[in-house]
Amino acid sequence: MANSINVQLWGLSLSLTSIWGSEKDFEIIERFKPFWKNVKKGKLNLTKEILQGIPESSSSFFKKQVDEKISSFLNDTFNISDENSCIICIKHLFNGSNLKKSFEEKRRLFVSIPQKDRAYFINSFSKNRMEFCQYSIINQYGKYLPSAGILAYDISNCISICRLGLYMGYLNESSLQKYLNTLAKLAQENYCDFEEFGLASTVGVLYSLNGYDNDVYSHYLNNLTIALTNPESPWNNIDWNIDLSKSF
Amino acid sequence: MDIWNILDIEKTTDIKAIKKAYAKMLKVHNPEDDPEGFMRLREAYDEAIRRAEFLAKRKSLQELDYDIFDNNDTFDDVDDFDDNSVFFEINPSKEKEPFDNEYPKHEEDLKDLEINSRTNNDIFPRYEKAEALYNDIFKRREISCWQKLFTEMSIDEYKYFSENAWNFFNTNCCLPHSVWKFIDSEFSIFEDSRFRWTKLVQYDFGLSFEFFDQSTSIDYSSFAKFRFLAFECFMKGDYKGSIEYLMKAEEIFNNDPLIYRLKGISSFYLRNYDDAIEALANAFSKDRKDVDSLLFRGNAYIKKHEFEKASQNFYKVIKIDKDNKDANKGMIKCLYYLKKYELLKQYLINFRSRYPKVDLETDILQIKYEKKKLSTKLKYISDFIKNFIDRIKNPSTPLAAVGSIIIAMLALILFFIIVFSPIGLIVFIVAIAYFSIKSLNNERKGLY
Repeated sequence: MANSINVQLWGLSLSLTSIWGSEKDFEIIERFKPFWKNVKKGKLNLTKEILQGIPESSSSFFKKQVDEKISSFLNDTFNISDENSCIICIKHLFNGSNLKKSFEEKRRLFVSIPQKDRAYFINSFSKNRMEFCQYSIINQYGKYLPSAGILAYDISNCISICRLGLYMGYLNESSLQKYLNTLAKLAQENYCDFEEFGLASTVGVLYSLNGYDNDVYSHYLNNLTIALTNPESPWNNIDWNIDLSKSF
Repeated sequence: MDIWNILDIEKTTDIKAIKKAYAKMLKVHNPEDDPEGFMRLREAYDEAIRRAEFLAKRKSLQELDYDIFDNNDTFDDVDDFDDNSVFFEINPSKEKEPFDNEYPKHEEDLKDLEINSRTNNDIFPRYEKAEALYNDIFKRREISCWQKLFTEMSIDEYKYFSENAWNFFNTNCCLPHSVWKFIDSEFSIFEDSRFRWTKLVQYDFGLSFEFFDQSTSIDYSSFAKFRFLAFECFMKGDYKGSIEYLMKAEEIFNNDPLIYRLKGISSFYLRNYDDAIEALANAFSKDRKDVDSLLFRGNAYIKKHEFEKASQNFYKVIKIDKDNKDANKGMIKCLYYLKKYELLKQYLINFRSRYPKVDLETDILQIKYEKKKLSTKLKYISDFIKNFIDRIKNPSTPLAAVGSIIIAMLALILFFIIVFSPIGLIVFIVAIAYFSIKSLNNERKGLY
């Protein structure tokens, strides 16, 4: 039982480095303290709150605020406003987004250019152009990512959308479990540990931003750092190589 | 399972039929209900489209109906792409399956390029001299030979060639970068939307012809073709295909560092780190300025958790180029995992001063290092206190006597506080009363 919950928590934890972030997940972990001891002892059930990643609130005022925040986030970031658009967006990310394809093409081109010419190549673009930012990101982080590149960004956001979609009523629990199953296996096949996955996911966020300022960078660095270093983080409590066939 | 079985359609090159079949099967293998089935369907669809396009291009080359911007094969929105962002195809599919019988094998690929050139010759007899020049690998690499060819053409011939240069060079494309630049200066081929290899004109990828030696009997022409095909596969993300062609090229000629570098990087991306390390070592042995090979090799060792070996590679790069950011980053990673914290501290300080712009990986390592430093200090203090207490408890040590004296002095100080301070006195009386009442209650309950 504990193992089955661990498997599901493993999958859900992949959304820690999504655009939505991990703040609410850590609020929930704090609320169920000692979270991991309870998981180990089999005292913790996977409630809807944990699945959705949104802490429950008894106050209807706060709940309404949270609903509005999530609704505008989904709409502004992913054009999701109802069940139909939610499913379309999930399918799009399932296929591998255009961002991922763009990253891989640019990376292959960049890596093929001799090392001594790369700085010149990047500087040949005007600094306010998208290509300048994107190739700068690839130069800084992308060369040594595995062949999956920033697939982690798609996976992370897809899981996040599924969880928020469950909260908003766009998806049901069994749909979430099915998507989670496939996405978790995809992540495990393509990356070797949480650190690699988290880095790839965060690089994807930066790549999508087309230039970023220090505040934005700090926010996503913080997400990744907490996911990797917080003792209560799932990434420090569940093994990356867990057997995912044990029940989703 | 065969891709045609998955799509439930006969083998075809009709892209519209493939799309129709895919849309029909999507209703059966919905990603929501059957995500694994959906992924198999998607892979089959991508492969079928790729094959249809390939065969269509072969056919169209022969029929001179060549349009590389056939852009109706997409399921996804491709607004993000401009023409120059894609090297070979508009929508390169993901890592490809090995070719099956339907597809040309390596030798057939070579013949394919030759057939196209022969076809061109039949239709454009004025290509004859250009073909002859191209077929001589040692003349092909010389700008002066091309210059002479174009100078010796009549006005009509030159005009004709100029209008159809894109066609000729689309199929006769194994050329050094310097020649591409010259051809572009002659015919502005880069501007021609029908020309496929714009990137080869724009950038020098190191597909060098310099080390081809006329005095040997090596088949450099085949070598150049295999190397080109390998490079094409690499640019499409077909790393397995790239390695296959590179191995063929290596059998012919094994002194080109590029083939080992490409092999190493392809293996790296396929997570075959042992193969990557071997290939990159070969690359570096043939080109001692190739820091890229060392960097990839270092990172391959990091993936294998062999941090000592990784650090040796990064150190070699730093010796060549001390400001190399990737090498410094790599060193920082290695020093952290090797727990060489003093050296790590120095490298972090140097890194910050050289590269003030933020960096995710080093920032995280720095945070981890700070936390480790703090926990190490706390552990040191707690170990010290524990050790101290153990020694006090042990009556045979002098520390026990010192400890006893300290405890006695503390008791005395407490006594004076109680006696001479009103609050201390009240606390003392309350404590006595509490323990007395508790004791009486326990007696009544018969606990003693």
